[in-house]
Amino acid sequence: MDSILISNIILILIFILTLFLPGWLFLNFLLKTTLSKLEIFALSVPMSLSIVTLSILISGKLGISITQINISIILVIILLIEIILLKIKKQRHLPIPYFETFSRKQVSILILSIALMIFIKTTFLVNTIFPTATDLGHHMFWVEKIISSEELVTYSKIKVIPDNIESANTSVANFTESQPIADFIIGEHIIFVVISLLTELSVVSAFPSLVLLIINIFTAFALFILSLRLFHKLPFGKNSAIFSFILIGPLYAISGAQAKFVSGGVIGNIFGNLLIVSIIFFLYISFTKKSRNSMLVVFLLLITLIYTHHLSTFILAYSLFGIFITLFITNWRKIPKIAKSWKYLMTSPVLLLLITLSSLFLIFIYTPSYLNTEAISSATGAPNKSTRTGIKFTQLKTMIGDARLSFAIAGFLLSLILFSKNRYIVNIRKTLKTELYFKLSYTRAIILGWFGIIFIMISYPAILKVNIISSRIATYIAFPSAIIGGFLLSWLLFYIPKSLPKNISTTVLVMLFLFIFSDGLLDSNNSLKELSKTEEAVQTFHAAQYLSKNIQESTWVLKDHNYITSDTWIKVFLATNYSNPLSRSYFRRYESHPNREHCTLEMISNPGTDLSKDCFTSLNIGPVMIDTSEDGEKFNRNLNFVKVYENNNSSIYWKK
Amino acid sequence: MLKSQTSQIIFAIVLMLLSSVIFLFWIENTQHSYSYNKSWWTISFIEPNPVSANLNFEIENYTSTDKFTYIIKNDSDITILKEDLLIPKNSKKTVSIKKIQNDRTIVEVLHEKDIKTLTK
Repeated sequence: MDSILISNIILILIFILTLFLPGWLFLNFLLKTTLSKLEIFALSVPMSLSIVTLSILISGKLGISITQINISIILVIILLIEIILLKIKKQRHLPIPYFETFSRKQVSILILSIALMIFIKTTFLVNTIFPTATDLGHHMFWVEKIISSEELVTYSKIKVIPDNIESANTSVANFTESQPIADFIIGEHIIFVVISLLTELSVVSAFPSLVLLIINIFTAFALFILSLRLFHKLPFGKNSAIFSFILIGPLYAISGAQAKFVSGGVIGNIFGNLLIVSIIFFLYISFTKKSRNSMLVVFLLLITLIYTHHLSTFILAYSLFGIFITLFITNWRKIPKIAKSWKYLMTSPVLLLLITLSSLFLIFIYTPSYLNTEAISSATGAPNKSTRTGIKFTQLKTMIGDARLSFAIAGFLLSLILFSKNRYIVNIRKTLKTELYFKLSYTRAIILGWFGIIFIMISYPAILKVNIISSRIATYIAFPSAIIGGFLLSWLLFYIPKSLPKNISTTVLVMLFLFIFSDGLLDSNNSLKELSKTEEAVQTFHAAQYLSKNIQESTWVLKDHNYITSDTWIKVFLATNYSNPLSRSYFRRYESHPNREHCTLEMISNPGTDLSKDCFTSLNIGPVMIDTSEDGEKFNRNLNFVKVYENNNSSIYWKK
Repeated sequence: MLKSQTSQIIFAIVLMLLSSVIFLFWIENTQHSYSYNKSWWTISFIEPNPVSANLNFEIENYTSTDKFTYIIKNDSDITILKEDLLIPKNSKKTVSIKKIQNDRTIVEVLHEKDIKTLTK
């Protein structure tokens, strides 16, 4: 059989084994009678991610080396325990009719939406699945490092700093001691390590992006089931959920935290979004079903998020703050009752044990590098840069989509109005038979609190003392926007035909749907124009393999980041040090940060100067990889270098 | 037949996601190939260390034409050796040459209208 086909089959089996089965068995054991089959299916992916990540993290800290055989044993043990527990419990799945039955029309729309979503994302990925993205390259270096060292790594790097910071542009530079990096967290890498070891596939392949694609698609599906729960008492609740899915799945399928983040390797955000949506879902189940088991899942997912992505953890913390504040303000008379139910949820012995053990692990055994006073205080407080003082509404519309944001804001305002106690509004609710829904405290708190707090974080961060780049937070509003936008659309579909003459109502609805579909699909159409850089990237990888064959671990390499395609992946092939090769950064960075070292700029831009010669000596650089047409001539003329390699784009010179 | 709607939805997701994964995995594999829909070639010293006197070099061909010519020159641009080579697509060939005493050796390889060089 064709080797590609065999690798493909193995990869799919390993995906099922690592990204589905552990979570599916666990949820069937814990919440079989509480959740529908559809919910268990959708949430098996975040649950598996959590189980696999935490078990490898714990075993790694126990000193068990991260090898193919050990990971296989750990996975088999986990699955066996789950199967035994499931057999002992012997629960039967009791159908939950509301969440398991849809009209034929709803099923058709849902399946069509799923097909359209996967089709658009796949079409985009045809040109971008080849691993070229900068972020993914950085992450895969660490995945490779964990695989080669067979242990959890300490994220650190050696920096280059000028000897004289006052005149950095004319100063020689030197290496610092290894310094911790707060940007990488172990949870972003474990699942890739596991899949790479079990499939024996290189990290320089399609599988990392395929993992992100699966996570991204299941995030949209998790949002669907969350929306289904939130609005299940509404006569138009299922339509709300379907519209929410349409707003996050097939529409705006590429931009924002969607397919672009998949090919770009923005691992933390992609994982974070799935975990945030899942945590909010399980919180809702815990509160409304008074389920201690569900609360246990909330904490497991929360611990995974803490070990996966700092920004997502930060956003979740603020989102929960917004949700709880809204809950308390809108239910202030019921606070004692709410507190009593929370006390019951939080005092289960298993949960208390989990909280105690995870706190001890977090404090004494493995503290993520971002959990320190300096990092926390730099992310909170008054915004200190122009990029952190909030983004304009027009920019937010571009990022989230005109139609989606407009519907979300209108839906938010509608929700506020409909929750009013004004007699006229109360009458509308009674006419629409939606009275029951508007008594649902948790739904109200989630849709208003989640969207509201993120909107303030993006637009007016100073109010909440948020000191983080506002555009980074903006991608997170897509999820509550889709829920509220879906709610508004289904409300309009329900309300307009009842209140307007048929001709007018049909026209209004057609216009609305045309607006949202054209905006959402046009957004994807613009992104689909991205061209493939495969031919250039393949040559970069070829050159990197040549370097890795011919250098020693102590050899420092220099390369250019301005003109070489996929240059960040060179470090994955060298697999020596996160900072190796050193890089001539984007030219603008040397201008905007005049105090940064200039050796990396000088050594490629002017290899013949005295400063350049001193830099080569002080940094002990051997090979230099540059774009031949942009920088080759300067090196050809210089007798201090030999030229050892050339492909169609780049050349490697070696300092004598 | 899938009777429940839940099963229909799950089946649709699984089927479409699997198709996407299989297709993208195959696409990336073809893109990873040095020669699929690509045309490029490369030259490199077998021993790149500048202090090494070994000047043997290798040509790898991923273009559709197989005719190469290599020229060995000294630093004064005087041709010492010129020879034609046939290197089929998807293959490589090592060329052995000797270092020019007390001078920089320039290796020029010509292929169609393209020239690549090595120096030592």
